[in-house]
Amino acid sequence: MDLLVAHDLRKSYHTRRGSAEPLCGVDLSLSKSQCVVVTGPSGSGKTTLLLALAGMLRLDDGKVEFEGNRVDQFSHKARRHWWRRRVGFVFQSFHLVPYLSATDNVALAIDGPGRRRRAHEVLAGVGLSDRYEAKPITLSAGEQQRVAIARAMANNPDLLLADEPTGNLDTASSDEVYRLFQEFQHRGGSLVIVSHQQATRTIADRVLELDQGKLNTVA
Amino acid sequence: MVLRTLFREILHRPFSFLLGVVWTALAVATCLVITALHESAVNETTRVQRDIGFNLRIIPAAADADQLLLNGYVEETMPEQVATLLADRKTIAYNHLVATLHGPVELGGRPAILTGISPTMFPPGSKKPPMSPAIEEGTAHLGSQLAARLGVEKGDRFTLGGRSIEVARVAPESGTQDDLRAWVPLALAQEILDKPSAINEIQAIDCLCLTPDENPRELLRAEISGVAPEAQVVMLEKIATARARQRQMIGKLARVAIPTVVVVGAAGIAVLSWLNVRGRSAEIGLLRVLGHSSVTIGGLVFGKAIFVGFAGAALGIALAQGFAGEWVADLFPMTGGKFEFDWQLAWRALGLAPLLTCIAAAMAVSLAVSQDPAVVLRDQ
Repeated sequence: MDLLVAHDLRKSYHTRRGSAEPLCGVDLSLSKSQCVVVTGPSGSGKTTLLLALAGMLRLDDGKVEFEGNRVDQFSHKARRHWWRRRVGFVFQSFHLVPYLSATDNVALAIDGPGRRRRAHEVLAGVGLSDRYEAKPITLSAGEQQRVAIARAMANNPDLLLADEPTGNLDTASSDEVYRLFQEFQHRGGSLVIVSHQQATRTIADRVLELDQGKLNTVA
Repeated sequence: MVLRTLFREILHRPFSFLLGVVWTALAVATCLVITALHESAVNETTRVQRDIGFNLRIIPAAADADQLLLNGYVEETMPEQVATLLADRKTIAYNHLVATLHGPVELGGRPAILTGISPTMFPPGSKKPPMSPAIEEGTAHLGSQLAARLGVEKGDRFTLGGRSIEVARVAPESGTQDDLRAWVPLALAQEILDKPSAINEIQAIDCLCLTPDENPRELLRAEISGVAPEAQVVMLEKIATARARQRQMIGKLARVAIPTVVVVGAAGIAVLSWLNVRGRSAEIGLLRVLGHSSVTIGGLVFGKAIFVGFAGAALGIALAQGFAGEWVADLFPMTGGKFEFDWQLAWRALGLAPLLTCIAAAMAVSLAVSQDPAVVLRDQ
């Protein structure tokens, strides 16, 4: 069974400046240990698609299923649990809490009394064992993204949703991020990465392009 | 997790926290100082009004009120027990009852007024400091002109009704009949005037608790006629009205000022909390994406409000304690020296301030818990 299935996703926005339909009949399936990269020009609706897959968007039509269960029919509690335990999020601008250390930022995603110890383990796993107590402002962009990835992976999720994860990084840091994503994939994790950067395609099992509200297979 | 995050956030944004603390401190201090000034003003007013004298004269029902106005007292008498009867009633309209017997005497070869007074009686549960000085057995208080006529001063003795009596006090000149009056204990006056167990007046004061739209005269008459039909009431309305107006004015000031300060203080905290939550929208959205519950997110905002409330109240109490004593002593020379800071009220403020800051932060909490987690993805 596929881990994540999106069927006929439709979403339109109406504003004073006109209307837009970033998703008009999007279908997507993702199996275990698979990495899908979604590309497309700015404003094509990539982030909207990611929001839809994460169950954060009220769709006009269509459905998203995780292990056969409709995400839009989750209760509040079930959705919270799903986000906390089964899904990890990585953002272009990292979204680290500025006044918390790297350890505390990662620990935000972990429950239980051993959360700081577990946070140290995950940070060590992304090569930041010497930066446990560093505040985000003292970390380089690459290090900040590695903290964010550690936070996303802290609960060993099944699915990682990443929105332009290397958008603010240099080549070396981007390569490090790709390496971490591949490790995650080798451990059995699945990824949906939204990115307009060519290099991201190197880790993809499938590359899809979102164009005029439709997903087309590129490679 | 909540406490750790809370403390780190406070340290990260100390200005926002300190602004909340100072705002709360000012509100708490203002409330406490206003309360202290109000209570001191009431004490001072009571003390000043004590010297104005009684404003109710309860005389026998059969007496001619014209005679009271012409002579200053009436001939008719009523039983002394009427005073006790009135004092025993838990009533709202009068207090400071003094059973009195007036009568003419000759002192120094010329007429004077003898006034016997009982100790002050209070309705149950309404004990207050007496308005007039008590007169000891075997002593008298003399009006200034009468003392001059007799050639006596405080500590001297004079003869009244064949008894040698010590002058315990000479009253200052008043320009009224009181300058020709000798005050003695009620029993002595009854004996000298040969009117055993009789009185011809009960002096009293209205309770000062009536609202401006209540008619004190009618209320008192209705109340006293129900208890003692053998008595009637004459009210010295100018004194009564002056007392009531002064008391109501002071009460009104506190009634308006304290809620205003509380509302303004709470509004300030509400705005600060709301701005804090708005400034942290991405952070709160992230917590939602990480699966944190509304309880955790609300706890962060309420927790900060509680700290602001506690710290602000503690600082406000310290400020109020410092300023109130100094200002009260300056403003109220007669009673200010006896001012004591109301620590019971201060402890209550310490408990109530965090509650009020939490209520004020409720809008910010509702904003935080309804934060759309998608904001972290849109906000890039």
